[in-house]
Amino acid sequence: MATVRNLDALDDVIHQKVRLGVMSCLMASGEADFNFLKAALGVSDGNLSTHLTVLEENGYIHIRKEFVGRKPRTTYSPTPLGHRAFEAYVAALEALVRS
Amino acid sequence: MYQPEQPVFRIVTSAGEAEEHLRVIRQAMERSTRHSTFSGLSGIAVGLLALAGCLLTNLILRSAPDPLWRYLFFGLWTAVLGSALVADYLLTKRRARQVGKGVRSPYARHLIRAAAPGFLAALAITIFYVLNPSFIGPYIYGFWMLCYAASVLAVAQYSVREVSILGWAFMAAGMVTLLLPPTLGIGPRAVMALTFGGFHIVYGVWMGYKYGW
Repeated sequence: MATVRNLDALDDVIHQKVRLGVMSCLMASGEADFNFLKAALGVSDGNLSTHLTVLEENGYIHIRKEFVGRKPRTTYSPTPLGHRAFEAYVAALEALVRS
Repeated sequence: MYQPEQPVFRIVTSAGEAEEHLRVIRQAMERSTRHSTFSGLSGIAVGLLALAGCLLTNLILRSAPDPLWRYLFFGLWTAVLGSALVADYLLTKRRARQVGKGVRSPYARHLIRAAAPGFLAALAITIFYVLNPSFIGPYIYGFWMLCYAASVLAVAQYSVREVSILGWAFMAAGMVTLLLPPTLGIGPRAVMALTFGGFHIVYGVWMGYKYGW
């Protein structure tokens, strides 16, 4: 069974699944920083960064950059558009399973 | 707005694939919500506040005349509850910040909704007690513990095993508090201080070591 931890080992769906994983985490948590998403999804820095960029460019997530002490910290949260897209996607999946 | 050549999420065409995606969503959500923002210090703080509340109640009941003690009792425990909620919020927020998450989330709203009925039942019982203290007497503490146990067990549905154990421990302690023979020499308030305060402190230390402070 494919698990979130093993996303890197999945098939060609990997890219979309990482994005789905990111959105799922953000929808559940409200917001999360880069390190948290990386640990939760078990993906590499570069991989995660690429998918976060896609989600941001589509207006699905909002990025906030700040300094905590001397360390930079980037926090991600879903936008209203991202909320709607995710909910519509889940609803479509559920409808497909029901049918 | 940027229009991607590829869809942001994969277009799913079969029920099996849809189930797989729903599983990925569920796993990612569970992974992001479970136990990462639990604060050991929060459990300890709530336990200490409960102990302080029990000690101060002892003073109030000994020294304040009726009906003044009723107002003091209600005010004291409202303050204990308020302080516990504020401490829990601040310490959970601090912990969430440590692990890279926000404290206000759909998950947190789920937990609040789950806990609310037990707290509201306890509020109603407390108001009834303040208006009619002789009907319930010192057994109010047992009722409180049962209501709190119900809240904790409701929250445990979305949480780690330790929360469920804590909830059942409160349920057992609440029953003991209510059913304790009066001749035993230990009153319901003392039992609440020992169990409610003590269990929280033990839970806090355990959670602190296991998940973080």
